[in-house]
Parts: sequence; C-alpha cells; structure tokens
Amino acid sequence: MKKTSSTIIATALAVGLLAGCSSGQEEGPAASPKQPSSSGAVTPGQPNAYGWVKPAQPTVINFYQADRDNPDKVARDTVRLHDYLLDNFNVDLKKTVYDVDPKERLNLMLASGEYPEVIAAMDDDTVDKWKAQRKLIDLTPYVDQYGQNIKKALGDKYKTYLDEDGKLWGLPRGWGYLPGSDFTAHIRMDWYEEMGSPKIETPEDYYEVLKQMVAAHPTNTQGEKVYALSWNDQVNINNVMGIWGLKDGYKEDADHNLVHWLNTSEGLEAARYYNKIYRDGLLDPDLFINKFDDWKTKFANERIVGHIGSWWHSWNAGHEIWRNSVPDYQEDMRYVQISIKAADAEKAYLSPKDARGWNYTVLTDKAKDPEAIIKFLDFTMSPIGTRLLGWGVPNEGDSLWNYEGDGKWSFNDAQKTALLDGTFDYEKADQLGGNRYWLVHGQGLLEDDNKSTAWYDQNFIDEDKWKKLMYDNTKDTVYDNTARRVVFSVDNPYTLVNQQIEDLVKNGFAQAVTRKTEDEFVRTFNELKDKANKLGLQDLEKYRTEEYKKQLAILNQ
Amino acid sequence: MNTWRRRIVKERQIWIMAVPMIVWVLVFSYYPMYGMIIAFQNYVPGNSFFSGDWVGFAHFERFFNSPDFGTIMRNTFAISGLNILFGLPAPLILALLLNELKNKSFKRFTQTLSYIPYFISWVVVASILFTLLGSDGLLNKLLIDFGFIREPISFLGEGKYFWGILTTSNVWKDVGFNSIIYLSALASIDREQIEAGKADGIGRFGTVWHIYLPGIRTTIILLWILGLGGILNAGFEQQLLLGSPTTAEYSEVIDTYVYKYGVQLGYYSFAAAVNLMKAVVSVLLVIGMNRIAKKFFDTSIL
Amino acid sequence: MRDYLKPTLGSRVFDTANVVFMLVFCALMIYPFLNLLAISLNDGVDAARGGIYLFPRKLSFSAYELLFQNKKMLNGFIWSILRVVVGTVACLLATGLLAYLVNIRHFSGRKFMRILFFITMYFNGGFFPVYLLVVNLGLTNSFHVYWLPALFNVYFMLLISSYIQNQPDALFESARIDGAGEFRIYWKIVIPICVPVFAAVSVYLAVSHWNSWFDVVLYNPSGKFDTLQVYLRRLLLEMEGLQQIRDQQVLYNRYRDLSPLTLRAATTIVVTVPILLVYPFVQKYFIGGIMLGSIKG
Repeated sequence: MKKTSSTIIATALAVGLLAGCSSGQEEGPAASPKQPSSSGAVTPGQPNAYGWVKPAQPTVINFYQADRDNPDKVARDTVRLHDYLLDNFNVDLKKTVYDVDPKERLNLMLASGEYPEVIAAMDDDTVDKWKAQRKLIDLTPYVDQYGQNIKKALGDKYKTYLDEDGKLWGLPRGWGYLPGSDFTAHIRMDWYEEMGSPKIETPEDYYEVLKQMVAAHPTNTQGEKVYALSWNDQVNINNVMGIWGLKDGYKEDADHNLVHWLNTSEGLEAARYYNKIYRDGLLDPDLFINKFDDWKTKFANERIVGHIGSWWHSWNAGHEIWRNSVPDYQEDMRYVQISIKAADAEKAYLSPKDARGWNYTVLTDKAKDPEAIIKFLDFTMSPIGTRLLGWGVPNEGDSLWNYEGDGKWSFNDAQKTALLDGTFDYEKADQLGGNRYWLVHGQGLLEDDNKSTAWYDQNFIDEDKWKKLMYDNTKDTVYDNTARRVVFSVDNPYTLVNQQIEDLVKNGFAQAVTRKTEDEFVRTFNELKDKANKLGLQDLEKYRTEEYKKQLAILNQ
Repeated sequence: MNTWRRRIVKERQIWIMAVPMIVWVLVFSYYPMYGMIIAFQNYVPGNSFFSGDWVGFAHFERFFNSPDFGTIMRNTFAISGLNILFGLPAPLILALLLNELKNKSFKRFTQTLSYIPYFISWVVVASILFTLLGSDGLLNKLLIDFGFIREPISFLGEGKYFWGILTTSNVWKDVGFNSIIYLSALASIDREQIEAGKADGIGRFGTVWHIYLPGIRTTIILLWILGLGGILNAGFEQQLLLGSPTTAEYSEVIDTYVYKYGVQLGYYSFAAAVNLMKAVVSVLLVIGMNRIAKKFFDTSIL
Repeated sequence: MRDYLKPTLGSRVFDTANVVFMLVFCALMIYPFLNLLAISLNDGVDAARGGIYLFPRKLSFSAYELLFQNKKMLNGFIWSILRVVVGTVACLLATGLLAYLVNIRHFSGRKFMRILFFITMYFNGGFFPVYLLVVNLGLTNSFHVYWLPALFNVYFMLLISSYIQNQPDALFESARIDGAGEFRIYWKIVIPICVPVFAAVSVYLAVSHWNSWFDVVLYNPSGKFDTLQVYLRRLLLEMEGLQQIRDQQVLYNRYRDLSPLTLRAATTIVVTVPILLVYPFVQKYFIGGIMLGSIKG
C-alpha cells in the first residue's frame, strides 16, 4: 500500500516537473537543464527538427566502450545529452566503461558470453577475433538499407572497410582527420620576440636560438637551471625524424620502398643533433626519465625553453597553467608552433595522419533490433548528427551551439568568446556531452560546410590567432599516412620482431644520445644498428614495404 | 579398508569440519587449474580450453631462447636476492628495536607511523623519488654542497644505481608492515623465561639472542622459506614506474617481460607457460628449503 | 655495584641511540604522507608547478570540498567497512580452524590437508578460468564475491599453524580427556591463546580487503558494491588509460580532463586514514600478550 502510494506521488511529481518545464519553454533556453526543445513535442511518425522520425518504442543502445575511462566522469558528462536524446529522438543510449584494461575485459566478455548488444572502440585485431567466433553481425544489409549518411560520409573509402567477402563487421570511429599539425617544434614567443625573432628554418637555427635563449635566461625565478630541450614518454622518435624528411620513422623512395631510420644517414644526423645538445649541457639530463607529469612540472616552471613534440603539450604545460598562476601574465607568454626542416631534406614530414579512424563500433549477435541501431548510427554520421554528438546539447544558456531546425545552426557567442579569450570552462562544457557518445562519427571537416568539426575547440581556426598561427606555420608538414597502417596481431610473425626492435631502439637511442663524446656516440649508434639488423630489422622493413604497397593499391583503386 | 573406516569414524568430528574445507579448495583452487593447459597450446580467448592447437613446450622454448633471457634472469635474481638479503631481516630488526623501546606511547606512535608507506601507492613513491633523486633533487644538492661530487649524478638515469634504489624503496615501503608479524610473535614469548634470563644476568643483548630469537624461530624460518620460494617474484609495478629507457637493461624482470609480451601483445599461452615455470621453480625451492630447515633447525612448514 | 652500573650505561647509550634512530625513522616514514597532505591542501593549478614539500604554497580546501560532494563516496565507505569486517572475520575464523585441524597430532588427514592447500599457493589456473567460475557460480554483482573466494588463506594458515606448533600440546590433550569436542577446543582454547597472531593476521587481512579494488571492478561491474578504494584507483589509473591513445586531439582532451594532482592527493589521504586507525587498535593485543605473561609470572 505504502509502495503504491509513493509510486503515485513520485509519478505525479515527475509529470508535474515535466509539465513545468514545457510550460517554461517560451521563457528562453536557460529555463531548465532538462527542457525538451521545440522538436520534443513532435508526434511520432513526423520528423523532428533534425529530420529524425521518433520510433514508437525507444531504441535502446546498450554499449560498452572499450576505452579505459573513469566511469564516474562518464556518467556525469553524459546525463544531459542522454536525456536530450531520449526526449527528442526516443533513443536511450546506455554507455558502459570500465577503468580496467579494455582488451582484457573484451576477452573476458568473449569467454563468458556476457557482452552487450553494441561494442564501441574495438580494434582491428579484436574485431577479427570476434568475427571468427561468429559473435558479430554483418552490417552490409542494414547499411545498404538505412545507411545513406554512412555511405555518403565515408564516400569512396566505404569499400575499404569491407572484408574480402564484401562484408562489413564494424563502423569506423573518428575517421578522417583535421588538417592541423600534431607534432612540431615550439618556441617561447615573448623571449623569441625579445631576441628580435631571428629566422628559424633548420634544426641548427632552432638550436642556435634556444642556446641564446638559455644564455639570456640561465635560471628560472626559483634559481633552477634552464635547458634548451627535454623529452617525455609521449615524445616519439619517429615524429622527430620527420624534420630530417623521414615519414613516420622510415625513409621512402620514389617506388615506396621503406628503410628504417637506423639504416639511414638522416637517422644518424637526427640522433647526433640531440647528442650534441646533450654534450653542450643544454639537454635536460633527466630527459629519458621524465614521465609526462615530471616534464610538465619543469615546463610549467619555465625550465625548458624549447620543445619538439605534440602541439598541445606546450598548451597544457605552458600558458594554460601560467594564465592562472603567473601574476602579471601577458598573452604572448606562450609557445608558438614553428616548422623546421633539415637543410638536405626535401620536405618536413611532421604529422602523419591516419584517416581510417581509431577503431570500430560493432553490433554483436545479441542485438535485438539492428535496424533501429543502424538508423541512429546513420543519423550520427550526418553532418548535423555529428554536430549534435560532437558539441552536445544545443539551445540552452550554456550550450556551445544553437539549432533552429532545417539544418540552420549557429555557435553560442558567449561560449565562443570565452574560448578565444581563454576563459572557457572545459569541465562545465564537458557536461553538455560533446563527444561523450562517440560511436561512429568522424573527426575531419564536415562535408556540408567543409569547415566545422566534431572537436568544438578546433572550429575557430581563422578567428583564433594562436591556432591560426600554428596552422599557417605547419600546414606543409601534415601528410596522409593511412596506407602505412600495419596490424600486428598475435598470429603475425612480425609482431614479436617489431616489439623487440621497438624496445631495443627506444633504449638504444636514449643511450646514444647520452654519450659523452661524439666518437662514443657514433659507436653506440652503429652497435644499435647492428643489433637491430640482427634481430630482423631488414625483414621488418621488407614486410612493412609490402604491406604499404598493398594498402596503397587498395586506397588508390 | 576397515582400519581406514575405523579411523575416519573415530576422527569424524574433525572430518566433518575438514570436508567443507576440502570442497572449497577443490572448487575455488583446483577446478580452475585446467587453465594451466593453455601453456601447451596456442590459446585464443573465447575458444574452449580443450580445443586449442597443441604446441607442446614451444612457449617454454621461446622464453628460454629469447634474446633477453639472460638479462631478465640476471635482473630477476639480483633484484629478488637483494630484496631477500635486506628486505627479510629489516622488519625483524625493526621489531626487535621497537620491542626495546621503554616508552609505550612512543612505541605505539612509531609503530603506527612505520606502516604508513605501505599504503602509499607506487605512483606517489615514484614521483617523490624523482624529486629527491633527480639531477637537481635534494640528494644531488646535498652531495654537491658537501663536496662529494662536482656534477649531479643521474641516479634514476643510470642502470648501475637501479637495483640499489629499488631495494631501498622496497625495504622502506614494507619494513613497518612486515614487522607486525614479528611483533605478534614476540608477544607470545613467555614472560617467565625473560625474567629468568634477567635473573641469570645475560643482559639485554643476551636476552635478544638467547630468548627472543629462539622464541620466534619458527616464524622467522617460515617467513624466510616462503620468501625464498618467491625469488622469481621480483616486483612489477615499481619497475614499470621507476624504470626508463636508459635503465631498461637493469629493470626488466620476468613479470614485466611477461606483461609486455604475454598480456599487452595478447600471447596468453606464453604468459601461462612462464607462470607455470615460475610455480614449478618456486615449489622446488620451497621444498628444498624446507628439507634444509628440517635438518638443521628441526622446523618444517609442511 | 660496579657490575650493575656498567651494563646500565651501555643500556642507556643503546636506549638513547634507539630513540634517535626511531625519530629519524619516523620522519622517513611519514614524509610521503605529509607531502601528500601538503599537496592536497594546495591550490590545484599552482600545484602543477611542483615544488611542494611539507607545506602548501597556496592554501585551498577545494579538493576536499569536491571530494565530499561526491555522494557515492559515503556508499563506498560503507561497503569498504562491511567488506573488511565480513571478509576479515570469515577468513580469520575459517583459516584459524584449518590451521588448528592440520595441527592435531592424531588427525590422519593432517599432512594431506597441508599439502592440498599448500599447492594452491603456487599453482593456479590463471585469469580466465577463475573469472568463468565466479560467473558460473553467480557470484558476480553480489557482496559474496568479497569474502567467499578468499575464505581460506594458505599463507596465514602456515603462520597461525607455526604459532600453534609453539604451544604445548598438553593444553589440547587435557581438554580432549575432559571430553571437549574439537570445535569447542578451537573456540575455547586455540582462539584465546592465539590472540596475538590473530591480531596480526587480522591487520594483514583488513588491509588487503581495504586495499582491494581489482576484484571489485572485475566482478561487480554494476557499481552497486563499489568500495572506497575503487574511487581512489579510478583517479590514479586515469593516466594509464591514456597510454594506448595515439590521436593527439583525443589525448589533449583527455589530459585536460585529468583530475588535478590535488584531488588525487586528497583522495589518497581520505582513503588511507581510516585503515591507519585499525593498527593502534589491534596493537594493544601484542603488548597485551606480554602483560598476560607477566601477570602469570
């Protein structure tokens, strides 16, 4: 009796609340966080403002995302978008993440048979394994029928996702790419201008500038020593090699034959460059010990004047901290990205881009209504669907964007200004749900305006002078590297060789760089080369070349 | 047969308690042991454990023939050996010293503090070590100020210091926590014996040597036998966190190697083979040590 | 007189040295904790610049405020306590009984039981079979998974058993002659004399139950039985989840999202302090053991 009455009261309350919300609709978007937008009132059968026809029964998409993530944060950040999609689309997204190794979790799911209808973020290797055990369903019939947007978005690339029998086992996530640079050299702007902005074209110029910069600022405010360059566990040798004209660590000739940097003169020069800085005492002696956090502490303490690595490192460890911690912070106390190229290199290849996407979203044999799921996935691949999933809930006071319907949309000016001014509250914005349900949409420029992208903060390149500067300085160094993808699965005989050589090279490079004389350096480098070749580096080169040529042929069909 | 039955009937009280224990151990420990057979297969998760393709001892051979096998074994034995050499006596000495403290509340205070490091995760320990031992860390500053060295030493960047740093931090982290068992064993020693010793005038050191140590001998031997049995467990997390490319030659041990090749790359069978090998070696060591203990100290754990 | 003074002098030197050593030792032991405390009380952005040792540079309680806003923390705290109490008591009594049984001289299955359990210390079937077993027994998403699979512990069986071995056998024999059942002997005689070792083992058990998090995320994915430790691990492991990511834009977003250092430190403090309080409570049984003996003497 008690239970029934409390249920009635609860229902009444809920209805009342909802009614209150919809009546407050006219007052403006900020009335309530859980306010159904105008499209919410559409009766079933008629398309809403997004052109979506609400199904009579809610489409429940229960999915595990195989990323290691913090479940509490995911829950917090998806509430609003979840409710929005349920109200306006009658789609009930239920996302599960775990903070354990996803590969292990997937294996346990496979072994125990306890897995959900949809799994997102499965890698090539795992897709193969699940396919072999007949746990996945072929998506081609559903895509053929309901996947107009999917086919349109992927275009010619669609067929490259099919297996040899023409079947589709997973839809790619995060396919396409942003034209901006990932890795490059950085220079601290205020100090650089102080020096009169001398020209920097080659790695030697860059080092010369850094050297003078250290001479002008030998210690930071706490009296700690300042270094020209350092390294952290995210800096990749292959990306550094791009300065000397190598592509992702390999030299490519006109016939697309690949040679590993260890077996090239460019590789030797690049390593010698670091060794020279080390011998001059301008390289942080802890460079190969630094984890990202340690490096960040030093960087934030103004102890490292240069950086060759990812663009966001200098943001995250530099001005995004200084802005809030340095009392008389000036806008140009920050790093700008520049591109450098060795004199002999024909071009600098700094940012390899893989357009295939990070991994796949699959439907398992437990999916009860694949049609309904594919319909929604198809919507999220449309430009407007990507915007909704990429930028989160629209039309509210703190929304990043507003949607009027009929494909008409605009950015929320207040949030945009905050982003350009550096006062944007990322944590709050995350709770709008942008990119928190990343099932199948892409990350490149959207096809309808060839300008906007699912990454909200990458939408204002032309208006954001720092991003624009970065894009302008580095646009020639970005290149499509999709064909170089190699899947090192368990049954691939090169998996072990590849791993052994990677370990060897990582350790050997560190050892060579930290040699006290040039002779010793050359000797260590050559020893490393011999060891790697003995382990089978040349076979690996051949294998990579073959795979590369195969992929090129498929992509250029 | 009849004598058996009679014995069981006679011991029925004990068997009634023992049978549920046996059932438990069969279900939770023995039944899952079928998983060990994947060491002799090429197992793919999701497949049945009995349908995989059999490869015999191929995974064992691969481990023994891997180019780093020598280095890995050297590091494992060196790190483990140092841990046993310093890590086993340290808690015992701490317990004996704590036992000598006169002031009860100071003793209690010290004991409580002593096991704090056990709760601090390795991530935090690693970051503290980094600030302490880095090129401009406190240790280098002190050494330079006192004129022992001119140039800072990269303690965490040079392989030769790695074992020492690892051992020290292991001891530091576990010494307080591991002393608990010795303290409880010391508490069990008959007070009369101690008083009798005092009356004989054997002194404090004598009391420790002739009464305390023999009184907790069984515990000491037990812990040390089990410790030696674990010689192939040289740690895992601390290597991953404190190791770096420049020290890899000294930090790679069996467990990190298995993690890299077995778990990260998905060679489950390979990982299982190495674990099986470890188990066999450990059991042989324990049995051997047990024999020795039986012969020389008249104590046995089995 | 002389004979009496001399050892006292040595004794006093030793006592002083011992106290000095212990003071240095205490400082070494407590430093990381003080360091964490200082970081947790610092402003988040400022802490990222490092260099905080014993005192916060820019005092702020925001990390703790954020922490205590999380209502799930209280739930986790309750589950943690329940798990520690149930898990420790169950394992202690069961393992203690096992240790007693394998010490009964006239028990024919004595050696068999010892070896049966001892083998499981080193041989196990690995990850998958155990997981499948727990799933098939229906123990996932239940509280039972916290105590049942860990009911008997061989290591502690050996410890308690070595302790019982040191006790005079006559103690049990006389009870048997008086007609006491084995369980009664365990309850009335073995447990009371084993108080110090039970106290020590209970510290180990309580700590390991308190610190466990992997079985929680593995077997109770529903989150209903999440313990306090799970929240701490979540924060500490956030960084590990980033290792597989290659895409720089994704990395940037994830790094920007990382919980600040100060929150990680505050969580460590909040999760560690309750279990630290267990030890002084148990410790009196070690000292009590000696007192008991002295009264007897």
